Amino acid sequence: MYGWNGKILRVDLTNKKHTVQTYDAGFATTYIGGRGFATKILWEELPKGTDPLGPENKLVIAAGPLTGLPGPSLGKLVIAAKSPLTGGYGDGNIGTIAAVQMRRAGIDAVVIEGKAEKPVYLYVENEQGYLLSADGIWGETTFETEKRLKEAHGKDVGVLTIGPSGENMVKYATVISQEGRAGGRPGMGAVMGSKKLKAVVFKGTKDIPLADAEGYKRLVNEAYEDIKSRDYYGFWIRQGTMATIEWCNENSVLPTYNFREGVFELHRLIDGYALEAMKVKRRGCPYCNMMCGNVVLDSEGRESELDYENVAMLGSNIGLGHLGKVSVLNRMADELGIDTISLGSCIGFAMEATEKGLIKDGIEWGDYEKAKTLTQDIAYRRGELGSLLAEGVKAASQKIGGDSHRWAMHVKGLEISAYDCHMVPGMALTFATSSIGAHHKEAWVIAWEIKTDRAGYTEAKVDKVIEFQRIRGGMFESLVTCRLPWIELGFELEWYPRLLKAASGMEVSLDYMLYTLADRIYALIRAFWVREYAQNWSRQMDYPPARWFEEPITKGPYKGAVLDKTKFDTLLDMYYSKRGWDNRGIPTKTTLEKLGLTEVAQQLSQYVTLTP
Amino acid sequence: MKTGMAKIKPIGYAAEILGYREKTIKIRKPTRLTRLLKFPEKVETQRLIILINDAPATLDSIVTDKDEIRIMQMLGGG
Repeated sequence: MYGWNGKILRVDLTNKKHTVQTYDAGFATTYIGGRGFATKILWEELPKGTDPLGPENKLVIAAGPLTGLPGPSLGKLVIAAKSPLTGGYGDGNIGTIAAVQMRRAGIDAVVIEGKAEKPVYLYVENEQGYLLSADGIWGETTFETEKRLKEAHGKDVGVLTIGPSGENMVKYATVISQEGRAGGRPGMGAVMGSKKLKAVVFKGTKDIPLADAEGYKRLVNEAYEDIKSRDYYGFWIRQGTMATIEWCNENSVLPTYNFREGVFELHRLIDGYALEAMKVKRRGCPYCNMMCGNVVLDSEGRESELDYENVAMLGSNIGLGHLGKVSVLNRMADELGIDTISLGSCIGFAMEATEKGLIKDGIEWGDYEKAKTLTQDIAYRRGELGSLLAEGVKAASQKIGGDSHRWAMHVKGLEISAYDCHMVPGMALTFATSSIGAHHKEAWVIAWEIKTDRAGYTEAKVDKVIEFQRIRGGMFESLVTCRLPWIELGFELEWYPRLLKAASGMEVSLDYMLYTLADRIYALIRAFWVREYAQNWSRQMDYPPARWFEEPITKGPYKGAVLDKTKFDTLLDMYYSKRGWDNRGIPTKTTLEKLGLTEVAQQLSQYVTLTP
Repeated sequence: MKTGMAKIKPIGYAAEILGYREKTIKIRKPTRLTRLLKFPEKVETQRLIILINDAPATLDSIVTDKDEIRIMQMLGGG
């Protein structure tokens, strides 16, 4: 087999054993890699009711058939497990040299189960796994951990690590690499912490087998040139995703004061131009020629890697209009291994709860010093408020009560990423139906909505959400390639099957990846959620928070805007129908069978009645 | 004929390529937007969002006095 290594490393922390599992071309082309592999493995191997923080949960680290090869933005991997934050399927992608090293180590994925007796880290070199003591690094930040592991194993190794928040099983702890590359929003870091697994280190010296090495090289060179020739390229290099701050504010979708508003009076102080004034360098994924990580010196003189999401959530969403200070909070989150989006949402939630008297001695809007302390408190689960917020906004709202569940900004327990949806129904549908809870990576339709019919609740919007989910959440997450060359610069999708053909020798068409692979993955992930929630599953799980339906925005050109609940329900019905799911949001038996998931239908029917 | 003023507000990348962040232009008669905006040849104009008074528009749309035109890049989200 070319392209794929055809090997998965299996590690059992409890029994201190590892094995190498081989797979064939049939499995490779059916699930491609990354999210596809993770979905299949977690569905088959995690029994219903698996404790996400128990030894039986499995952590899947999976790359794709292009990972580790030169080529535009191909240096990524997916980290997946049952989520301790949502109780459903959880994953995240991360761009890191660890992805390259894993593939050069001769494997395409690692599946880790069990729980170590004492803190360990996993060192992988050329198909072999070694469990080594984490004495001396357990308790350290992600930055310090990576530094020490590179001192021990060489500067070129790839490192995935957790920080104190993962060790303390903060429900939205992430996995960090290269001082700011983060992945696994729904608590993948907490899953590692629960297993007493501090880090995974990869070192590989093997060549990835290519079907047409010369052809691949030519294609990649053309692809890089294509990206550089795009007219937006120069501006992208300057601001990256940070251009989105001004754009979102201009269009009233910048999350502000816990998603109460879509415009922020101090947006100029945190936007892409403010970034340019502070920027010291760029960082990004291996082999990327449009790196998105913009590094600044924060207000404490330390380097902090910024992008739109973390600045919006730790800036406007908490009322903080000072990019240097936002950068400190961002860097702290990366060091501690906390998801910046969920952190910004939790702090914003606490600020609003304080304002409304639901939390005593809490935190005021824009209070930078307290936000720093609170970030530490969350990571270490210190104090009443830190412990409360370490569980996420859904659990926090259930605990403090009042009407806080109406403005706890999440879907399925995952905090909403940085786009206010009072006036963009298509994006609200995106958040509602995202595979892991409210996240933007699978479909971002705001620009398309604004360009066409912003206020509409139309079939075309449903089509666009599904189209983007197929491309971004299905194809890109399985190839584990970055969406940004395509979505930001217009790099055509047709490049990907061409690259795959040159690498693997296999004809895997774009249509196959979009309409079979992606739909299969979405149905399988949905089946995972339904199996877990069973009789407690309902379409209510696919609703955005009440705030967007009930509390109009009060500022900006769209003052007075709210989502229409009845019309949103119509959108959701259309979405289910087009996906072949019933009106509860459960794939029908026919749909599952059509996607080659007959056994999934049989198992799922043990827990819910399937619509034929 | 009455002479009015239209306001053009590009943001971000659009402001960079047009060279201004806000401009008012005299409109003597209904005019195609393409006559008011001069983009460098390299610019992929299909990747721009154009709004006239917040309604979706194109470079072929007609602009009249008192219209507000907003122009921005078709971003892809973070």
